[in-house]
Amino acid sequence: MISIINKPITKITGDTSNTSKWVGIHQPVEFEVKRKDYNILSKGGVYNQPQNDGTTLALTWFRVSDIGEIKVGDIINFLCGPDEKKRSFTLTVAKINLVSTGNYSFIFFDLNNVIDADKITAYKAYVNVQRKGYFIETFVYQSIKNASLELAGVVRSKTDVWGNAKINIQKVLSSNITNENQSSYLKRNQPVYNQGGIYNIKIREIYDGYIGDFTTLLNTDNLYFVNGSKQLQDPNNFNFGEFVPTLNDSRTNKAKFLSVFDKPTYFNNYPFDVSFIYSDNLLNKQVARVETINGTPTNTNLLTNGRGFVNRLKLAGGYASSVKTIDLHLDASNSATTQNPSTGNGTLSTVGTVFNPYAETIEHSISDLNQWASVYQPSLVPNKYTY
Amino acid sequence: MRVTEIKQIKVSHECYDNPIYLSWLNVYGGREYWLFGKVQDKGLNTYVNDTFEPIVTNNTTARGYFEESSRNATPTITLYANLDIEDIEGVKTILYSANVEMLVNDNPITWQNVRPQVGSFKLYATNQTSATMSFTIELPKVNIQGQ
Repeated sequence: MISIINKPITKITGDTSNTSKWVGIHQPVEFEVKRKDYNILSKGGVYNQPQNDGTTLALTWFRVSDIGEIKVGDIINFLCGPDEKKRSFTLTVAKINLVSTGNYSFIFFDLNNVIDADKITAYKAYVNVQRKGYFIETFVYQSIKNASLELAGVVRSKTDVWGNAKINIQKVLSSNITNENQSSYLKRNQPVYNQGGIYNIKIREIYDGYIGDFTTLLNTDNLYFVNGSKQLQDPNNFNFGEFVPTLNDSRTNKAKFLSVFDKPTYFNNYPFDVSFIYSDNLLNKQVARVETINGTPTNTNLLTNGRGFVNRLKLAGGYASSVKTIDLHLDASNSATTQNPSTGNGTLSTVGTVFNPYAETIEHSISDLNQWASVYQPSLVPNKYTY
Repeated sequence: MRVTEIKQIKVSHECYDNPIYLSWLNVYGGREYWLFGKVQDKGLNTYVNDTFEPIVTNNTTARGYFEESSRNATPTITLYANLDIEDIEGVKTILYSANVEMLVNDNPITWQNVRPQVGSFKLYATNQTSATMSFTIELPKVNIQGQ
């Protein structure tokens, strides 16, 4: 049996109650997987097995949860111990007793006194059978062109003697993502799929003659990526925690917008927006854009179908010439949103199907933009290069 | 409940001659914008990919020895901007962006890939409050007939 024991999720510095599932895809994105074929439930006594030459061989037996694919003659790695007292033994299965009731079985080994046997239960011992050509196969799913998850790539990993594997899926995530500007600049806030979105993995074990079942791909296990990199000595490591908005009023360092400018400049009438992480922490909550001009805030509700992606946030635009600065932030009410979060949150009811976004709410049409352009400025763009 | 920082956005109402509006991807995965105006230098970088010398079989009709397999021509624009230091700190990130685009049409909004030329840049002196920044972008190359 294999299970994912560690995912790229970290605590957010300054926020004691929330975690960030958002990672950059140009630096390691690592999962830790543990293989445990059989857990040892308890150690039994000694069984004297008669041999052909009339002598007997003392075997020690162990109770295990499920006998599965194990056979007499299999060579196994017997593993036990906490980290500081790890022990690993290679043993041969000498005898198997299947017990039809009680959901457990017994396996027998010729221990030859190599194990500090009394401590095995306390050390949470487990058994991994040595399988020819054993590897773990990871299927990586990612939102690439739209909100639906698609198979982005496959990673194969060997486990070490302890059954541990570290699976780095960074190459898969980054190789599918392009860098070009994909916004239409028509919506108030719009998910831009190549700036950040959803990923998830499922794993199975494969060895000579056997293909295991995949772990289940659940929306609740969704993780998130950003097409970005973190710099050296960042307290959040490769995680984008400081950019992830969370519902915690006492958070000391509120989430940042994805901008490197201290104060970005909006050039009147030009296509402009500020990128931000529309985080999974804001599911079910109505989020609003707040523009404060000369002390007067204006709240405008965001569209919910960008949740779970990196979004572009447009400004209201059309400011009077007396407006020199705007204070911009996002606000989340505590009440649940009236917009249906189960279909609008960017996650999917079933993997592989395209979800239906809400009817687009268009804030400014292209003709509006063009109209302003013709009213206020002769041309927004340079003359075409003449070849 | 406020869930993000308060980001102050400066609004520029200035009307520029020769506007060149660039958008680029910053290292954190966000999109940035800047409008360059007033004056730019237009340039052209050309080079010859390969040459060969034809065999002359008739001196009377031969026209010369210059033969090229193809030529490469890349238009360039050198941008200038007098900026506050805090804006230079933002605009400089264009020089190492993975994707830089120039607005070439506003209806519909259309972008074209451009590439800032690489090099060593002096941005500003630490006792300055504003400085002139300049760099050159390469436009898509000219498609030329070749051998």
